[in-house]
Amino acid sequence: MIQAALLCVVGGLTADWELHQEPPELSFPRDHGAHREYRTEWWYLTAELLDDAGRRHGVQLTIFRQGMQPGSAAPDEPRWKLREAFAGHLAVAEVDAGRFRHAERVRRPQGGLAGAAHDRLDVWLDDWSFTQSDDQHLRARAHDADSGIAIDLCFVTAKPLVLHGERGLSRKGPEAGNASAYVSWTRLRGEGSLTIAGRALKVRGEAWFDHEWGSSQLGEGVVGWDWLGLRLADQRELMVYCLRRADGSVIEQSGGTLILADGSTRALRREEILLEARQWWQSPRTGGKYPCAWSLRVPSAGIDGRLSAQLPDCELNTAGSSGVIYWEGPVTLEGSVLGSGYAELTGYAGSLGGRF
Amino acid sequence: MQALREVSLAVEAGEWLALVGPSGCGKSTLLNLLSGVDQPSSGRAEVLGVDLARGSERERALLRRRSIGIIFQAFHLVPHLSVAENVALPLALDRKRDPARVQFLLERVGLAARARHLPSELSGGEQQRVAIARALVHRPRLIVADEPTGNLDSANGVRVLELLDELRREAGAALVVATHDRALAQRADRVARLKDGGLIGWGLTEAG
Amino acid sequence: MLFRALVWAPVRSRPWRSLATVIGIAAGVAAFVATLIASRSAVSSLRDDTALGGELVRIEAPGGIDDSALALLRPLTQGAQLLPRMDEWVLEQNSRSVLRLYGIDALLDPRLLQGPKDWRPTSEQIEATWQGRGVWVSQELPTALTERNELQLLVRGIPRTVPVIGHFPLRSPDDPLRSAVIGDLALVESLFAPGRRLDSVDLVPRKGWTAEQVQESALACVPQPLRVVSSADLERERRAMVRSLEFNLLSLSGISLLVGAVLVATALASAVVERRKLLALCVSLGATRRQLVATLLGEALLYGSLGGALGAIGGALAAHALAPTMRSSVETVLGALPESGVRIEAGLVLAGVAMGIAAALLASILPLFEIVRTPPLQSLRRAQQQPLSARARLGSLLLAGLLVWSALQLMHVPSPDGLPLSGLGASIALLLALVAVQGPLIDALGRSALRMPGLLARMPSLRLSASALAAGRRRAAWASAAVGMSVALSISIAAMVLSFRSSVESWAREGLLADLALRPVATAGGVPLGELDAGILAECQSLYGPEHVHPFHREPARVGGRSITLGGGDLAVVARRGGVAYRDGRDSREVLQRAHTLGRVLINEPLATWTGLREGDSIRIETDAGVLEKTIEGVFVDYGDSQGLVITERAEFLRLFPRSLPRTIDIYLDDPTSADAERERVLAVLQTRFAVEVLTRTQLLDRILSVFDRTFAITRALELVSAIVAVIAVLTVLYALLAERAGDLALLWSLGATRAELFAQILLQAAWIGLLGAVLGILTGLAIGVVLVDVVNLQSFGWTIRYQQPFETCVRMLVLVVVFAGIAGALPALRVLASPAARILREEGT
Repeated sequence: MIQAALLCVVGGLTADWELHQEPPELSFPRDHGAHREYRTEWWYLTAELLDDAGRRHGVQLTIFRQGMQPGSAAPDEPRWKLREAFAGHLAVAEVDAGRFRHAERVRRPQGGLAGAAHDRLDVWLDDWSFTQSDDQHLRARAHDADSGIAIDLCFVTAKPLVLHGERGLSRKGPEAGNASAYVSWTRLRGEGSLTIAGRALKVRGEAWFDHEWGSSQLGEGVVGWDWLGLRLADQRELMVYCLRRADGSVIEQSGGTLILADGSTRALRREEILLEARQWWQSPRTGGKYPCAWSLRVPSAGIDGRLSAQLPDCELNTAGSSGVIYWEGPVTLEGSVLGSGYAELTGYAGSLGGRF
Repeated sequence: MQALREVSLAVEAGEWLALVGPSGCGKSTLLNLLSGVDQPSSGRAEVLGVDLARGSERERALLRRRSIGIIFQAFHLVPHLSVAENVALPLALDRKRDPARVQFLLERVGLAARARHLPSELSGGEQQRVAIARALVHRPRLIVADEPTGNLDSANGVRVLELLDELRREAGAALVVATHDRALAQRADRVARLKDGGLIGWGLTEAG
Repeated sequence: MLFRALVWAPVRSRPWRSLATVIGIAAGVAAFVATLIASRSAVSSLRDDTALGGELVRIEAPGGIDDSALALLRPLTQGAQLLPRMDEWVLEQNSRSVLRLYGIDALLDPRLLQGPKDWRPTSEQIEATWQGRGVWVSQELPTALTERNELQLLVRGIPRTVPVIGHFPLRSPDDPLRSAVIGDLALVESLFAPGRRLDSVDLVPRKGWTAEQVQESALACVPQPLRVVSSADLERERRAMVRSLEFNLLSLSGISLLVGAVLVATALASAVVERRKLLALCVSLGATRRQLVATLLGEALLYGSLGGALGAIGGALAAHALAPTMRSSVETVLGALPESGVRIEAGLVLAGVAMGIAAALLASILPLFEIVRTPPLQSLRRAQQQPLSARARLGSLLLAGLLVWSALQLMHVPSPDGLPLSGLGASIALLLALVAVQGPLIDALGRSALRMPGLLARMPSLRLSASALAAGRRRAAWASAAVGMSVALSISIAAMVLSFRSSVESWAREGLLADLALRPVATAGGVPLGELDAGILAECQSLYGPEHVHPFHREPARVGGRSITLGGGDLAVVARRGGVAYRDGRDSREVLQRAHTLGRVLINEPLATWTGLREGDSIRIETDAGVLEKTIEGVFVDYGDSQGLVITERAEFLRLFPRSLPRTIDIYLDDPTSADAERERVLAVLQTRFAVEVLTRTQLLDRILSVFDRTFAITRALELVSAIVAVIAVLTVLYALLAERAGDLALLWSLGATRAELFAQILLQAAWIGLLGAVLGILTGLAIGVVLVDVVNLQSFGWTIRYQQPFETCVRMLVLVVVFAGIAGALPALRVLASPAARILREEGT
C-alpha cells in the first residue's frame, strides 16, 4: 500500500471551507447524510457484543470523508479528480481471547465505489456501509479478508438522537470556527453476526454511534484528545472529550455531555470532569504510551470511579488510510456507578495537530 | 642415428645391381637416396647428372618424374585410379599423354584386359605387374625397386622378376634392387653387401 | 586413463580444430538461447502485473469501461482489491521512444512506489501525486528525457509537457514498468480529453481468495460487454501475439543447431580415422567395444558440454544485443512497443547446455558404428574405400526422393493457427534430402573423373583431387552436408526477404494512392503510434473539403472468437482513385464503390485465410457497442496486418464508436503533382498546435521499404556465417581425409609430383567440398525459399507473396563458399606435406 497519510494532506485552505460558527440548523434524516461544504466528516460506530458462548467482543467501524477541494467541480475538470476521499477503519477487540485485529480502506468516490448520500444515512466504502432503513434501524456491514474479520449488525435506537454542545455545535478550540457539528445515538441495541478468522459468531449487545462534521476543529497547541462514550447501568450515558496539549494539560473547550435516562441532555464543562490516568501501556510497535486505567470523577453527575481498558492493546496504525495512530477500545467503569463503553485516545504516538 | 654411414657406389648404365644385407643395414635408405626421395646429410650423390645433395626439391621431383622409375614392396598403386591411369601417372605428372605406350606396356605385363579396373580388383601379383608397367612408362634411365617380390609368393615372384628384367633390358635402363632373397640377388649383374649402414663387400658370400 | 589417451590428449594436441568444433555447437546453441530470451523480452513490456505480486483478474471492455459499470463491481471488493486503471502508449517527443502512460488511483494502487524496503517517497511527493500535479517515471528512463524535471509527451498528436514528481526503482531487469509513466487518474484523463474512460479495473485477490475464485465471482456480476480475463489469459494472449514470429525464429535457431551437430559429426568421424592406429592397438591390447564406445561418447560429451555452456553464455550475452532488433521485428508485426529489459533465466541457460550435449550425442551416432568395427592392429589394412555399390546409391537416391516427395506433401498439410509446422517439416525434409544425397554425389564425382582418362594428363591435380575426395566419401559427405545446410539457410532466407520485399513494393506502389498521408509521429523504430486529435481532422477537412479527406479508424473487435481489428473509412473517397489490390482481381475502384453503395464490408487476406471466409459470405463482427452483421464484398491484399482486418463505412463505424479518433488521415488532391507544395501548407497550418507527420506518396513508399533493407542486413550476416561454417567444416574433415590418404600423397611425391602440385590437389579437394556443398545448398535453399514464401508465410501471417529468385545472393554465396573452403584447405595441406614421404610409405606398407 502506498504509505500515504491521507489526513496529513490539508485539503485546501481552511478559509475555503464552511466553518461552524453558530449552532447548525439540523433536520433529520437529512443531516444523517453527508455535508460536503465541510471538510472532514465521520460516521462512527463502537459496540460491545457478547457471543453465544458469553465471550466479550468490542467492535469499531468508522467511515471518514475528507474533502480535498472545496466548492464544486469546474466544467472542464477531469471527472476523476480527487476532490474528496473516503477512508474506513474496522477493528475487533476479542477481550477474552486478548486479541485485537483491525483493517482499513481508502478510495475516492468516483464510479460509485464509495460515497455518502446527502439526505439520509447511507454511507459506503467498497463493501463497508452504514445504512438506515427507517428512523430506528441502523445497519452496519463490513468485511475484510486480509485481517479475517467481518460484521453484519443491525441496531435499534433505544434512546433518541443526542445533539452535543450547543444544540449540536461542539466547540473544540478558542477561535470561532474551531468547532464541529456533533450528534450521537448513545444507546443502540442490536444483534447480528461477527466473523473472526473465518468463524461466524452470533452476537448481541449495545452500541454507540457518532456522526461529526467540521472544517477546522482543533485549535493551536492541541496534540490529541481522550474521548469516552460510556453507557451507565442506571440508563444514563456519558460523553467526555479532553483536548490535550503537549504538556498533558487540557484546554478550556474540553467538556462533555451527560444524557439522562429520559433522553434529555446536559452539557458538561471542563471543570466538571476529572479524568486522571493511573496506569499506562506502551505499544511495542510504535512506542506510544497510552493510559489503560484512569480515575474518572464527574461530581456533578455523581460519578466517581475507576475506568479501565478491557484490552490493553487496542492500537490502530492506520498509515494506509488516514495516517494516524490511535487507540480505540472497550472500557469498563467501576465505582459509584457501573458502566461500559469505548475510549478513544489520540496523540499518544505522534501529534494530530493541524490535521483536524 | 645415421642410417648410412659411408657408402661409395657407382651404378653403370643398363646394369642390374642388387643390394643385400640384413634388416636395418640401410638398403632402403640407399635406394631413397638414389631416387632423390631423401637427401644425404653429407657427401655427394649424383644421379644422371643431377647433384641430389644440392638440388632443389623441384629438380629432384623432375628427376623422378622423368628419369627414375620406382617399384615398392607394397605395390602402392593409387586405389582410386584405374589400372591404366596408374600406369600413366608418371607421364600425367609431366603433363604428357601417351595412350599407345600405356596400352603397349599393359599388354607386355599381360593386363591389357584389366585396363579399366581398379587396383582393389587385382591380385597381389597383378598389382605388382601394374607397378612395373608404371615404373617403365616414362622410359626412365634408372629403376629402383625395394623388395619387389617381398609381398609375393615364390611363383609370382619369379614371374615378376623375369618380366622386370626383360622390360628393363628392352628399355636399356639400370636396375637397382634391394633384397634379402639370395636367388634374386644371384640373377643380378653385381651384388653389393651392406651391413650396419656401411658397404662391406661385393658379391655373394656363402652366408649371403 | 583410456579417456586421457584416446580423447583428451588428441583433442588437446589439436587445440584450434577442437575449438572450431566447440564453436560450431556453441553458435547453434547461442542462436537458440538468444532468440528465446530476446523474444520474451520483446513482449515483456506488454505486461504490467508484476507489481501486484502475481495473479490478478482484469475487467476490460473494448472502448473502455463506463464509470457507471463500476458500481456494479462493489460486491467484488469483498474478495479482491479493486484498482481502476487507464493505460495508453504515448511517444516521448525528443527520443521518439514509446512510453506507457498509466493512470491509477494514487490513493491505493500498489503498482506505484513499491520499491525495495529502504526506498520511500516523501509526503510532499505523495501529496503531489494525488493532486495530479505530476507523474512518476522509472529510474531507468534516460535522464536526458527528464531535464528540468519535465517530460515532453506526444499524446494523439498534441504535445504536452508534464512535470515529473520522482523516479521509482525497478523490481527486476525485465520489469515492464521500465518504460512506464505513472500518474493519478485525473492527470492522465486531462492529458487526453476529459471524459476518457477507464481501460480496465484490476482485481487483486485478498488473502484467502484465489484468482480463480475472484474470476468466478466477477463473471457472475459483470455485465456484457465487459470481459473478465485472468493473468493466465493475458499471458496467453501476449504469447499468442508473438507465437508466429517466435516459432519462426526458433526454427531458424534449431536449424543452426543442426548444422552445429553436423559439424560435430564431422569432427568425431575424423577423429575416428586419425586415431585408427591407436584404436586398433588398444583393441589388440584388449580394449572392449564398450570401452571404445565410451571414449567416443566421452569426446562427444566434451564437445557438447563445452559448446553448450559457451553457447548458453554467449546466447545470454547476445540476447542483450539482439533484443532491440527483435523488438523492431515484433513492432512491425504488432505495432509500437516500449523498451523492455532483458532477463536471463537460469533455466534457459541450463537448457542451452543440455541442447549442446544432446546435439553432440546425436552427432556421434554414425561415427559410433564405425568405431565399434575397429579391428586389432594386426589386421589393420590400409583403408580401402569401396566406391558406392549400385544398391547403396539407389538406396540413397530413393531416400532423397522420398524426402523431397514428403516435403511436397507437407506443403499442402494445414497447420495450427499461425504455427507453420508443416512448412517447417517440409524444410527439414528438404535439408535431410540434401544430406542424403551428398554421398552419392561425391561418389558420382569420383566415377565421372574415372571416365575421363584424358583428364589425368591435362589436369592431374584436378583429376586426383576429385577421386581422392571420392575415396574419403563418407567423411567428406558430412562436411559438404554442413556447408550445404548453412548455404541453404542463407539462400532460403534471402529468397524470402527478397520475395517479400518485391511483393510489398508492388502492392504499395499500386495500392497506396493517396497524395498525402497524415500519420502520428513514428517511434524511433519507425512505427506510428496512437491516434490523431479531432482538431487535426477538422483542419484537413476545412483545407480540402471532406470529399478529399479519408480518415481511417481502428478498434479491436472479434470475429468467430478471434481478436481482429475493425476499421472504418470513407469508402467513397478512396473509390475515386482506388486502393490496394483485391484477391479476385477486380478493379479496386469497383469493389470500393459497390461496398459503399451496398453497405458491405471488405476483409483482408489474413482474415480470409484464418476463417475461410470468401467474397459474398456474411460475417458477424462483435464489438462492445453491438454486433455488426454484414456481407463481404471483397478480400484485399494487405501486408500491414496479420491478425485480421475488416473495413466498414466510417459512418457505420462511428455509430458503434462515437468517441473514436482516426489513426491515419489520407488526402487526395485534385492535382497530384502539387503534393510537395501542399505538404508544406498542411504542415504550416498544423504545426502551431499539433505534432504530426505528413508524408508524400514517395516518402511513404520509401519508409515502408526501408524496413526491408534493414532486414536484409541480417541476411548478409548469414552469408558470412555460411562461409565460416564452410571453413570449419573443411578444417575438421580435411585432416582426416589427408591422414587416410597420406600414402597416396607420398606415392605421388615419390613418382615425381612437386609439393606445389600436391598442395594444389589438396586445395582443390577442399574447394570441391565447398562447391558440392554450395551448389546443392543453393538448390535446396531455393526450394526451401519456395516453401517459406508459399507455405510458411501463409501459415504464419496469412499473406500470399510472389516468389522471387535471389540470383545475386546465389552467385555471391557460391563464390564466397568455394573460395573460403579452398583457402581453408591450406592449413591441413601444409601440415601434411611437412611429413617425410619415405616414412609414410614405409608405414603404410606394413
